[in-house]
Amino acid sequence: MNSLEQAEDLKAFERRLTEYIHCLQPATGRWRMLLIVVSVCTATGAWNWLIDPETQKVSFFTSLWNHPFFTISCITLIGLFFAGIHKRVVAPSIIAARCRTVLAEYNMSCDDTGKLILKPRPHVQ
Amino acid sequence: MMRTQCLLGLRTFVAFAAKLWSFFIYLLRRQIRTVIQYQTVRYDILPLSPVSRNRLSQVKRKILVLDLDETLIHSHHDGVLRPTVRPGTPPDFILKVVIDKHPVRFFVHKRPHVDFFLEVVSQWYELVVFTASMEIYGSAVADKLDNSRSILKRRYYRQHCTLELGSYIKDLSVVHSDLSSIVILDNSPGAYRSHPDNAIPIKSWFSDPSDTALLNLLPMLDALRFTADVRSVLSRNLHQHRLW
Repeated sequence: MNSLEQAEDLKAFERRLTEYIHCLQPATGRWRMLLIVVSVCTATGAWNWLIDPETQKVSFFTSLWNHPFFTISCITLIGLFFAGIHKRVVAPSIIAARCRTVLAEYNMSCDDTGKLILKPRPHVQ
Repeated sequence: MMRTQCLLGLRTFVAFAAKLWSFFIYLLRRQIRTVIQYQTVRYDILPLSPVSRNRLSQVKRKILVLDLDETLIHSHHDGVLRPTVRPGTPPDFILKVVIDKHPVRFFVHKRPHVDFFLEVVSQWYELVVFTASMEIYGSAVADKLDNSRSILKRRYYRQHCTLELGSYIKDLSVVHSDLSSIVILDNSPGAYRSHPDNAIPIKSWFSDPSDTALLNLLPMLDALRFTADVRSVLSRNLHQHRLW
């Protein structure tokens, strides 16, 4: 195995890593958008719910019933967290971190875009 | 008389309630596992760029050799006094195997994400099972993992290993003569002692339900299939094998 072939192999290896992380971006962007929209809905809903003078007079469940917008967006937000949205919004960095864990064994690392970092072979003591 | 009957009734009720409670806990534990697995970011198959597709057509399809015990699964049999898994953890399946004319029950726990892992890597590699356990047990486990998907057809067992200094060494040339396109995934460094440049080490797994070692490997395995010689990457191994 000559060094030219090895370099070629490492390049192809790196290409797939960067390509994969790049491909993840649109989906991650959509998840982030969704999280922002639902969070903003929940926040506005909560504000309206809290400033409503009725909320303090009636029971908790009745007040929730009076503010369906808040109730629904809050349930959606909880559902999203159960489905792991907090991990999906950082998926590319999770994948990059996994790469780093495995590549460390091979004296390499990678940045958040998947670019390889080759480390010099340590001297045997 | 009345008192004894009352006590007896109460005792039956308590016993029944305890059974119901443990059943409930059992169900809950299963559900928690499902939720954890679902929450984790997995590894979706994403399309190849034209350059990568072209590259893939130029290189050979690789073989991935997989170990079973403590890599893909963990099992203990009913004779063990202190099982390594937390008591009460339900096994994924139970195997009944006859060894030396004695029927033995093996409680097998699948490593988290193993089904997903096998499904994904089977699209990239030709999978081969190579285990140091006995054929009768190894083939039953492989059948269960395969789940009639026909992805684990080639299998090698203890009789295909070479015994050296009390440990079983897996000779990859038995599986395939061309070492440029074969990779072995094993938790024990001793198993691939004769082919260190073809090895991917993995931490031994016993019971941790939040383990993601198999998912961690997916980006690396995805990228590795584009190399002409897997040793270009794998020979950079420092072999700082910790005793896992």
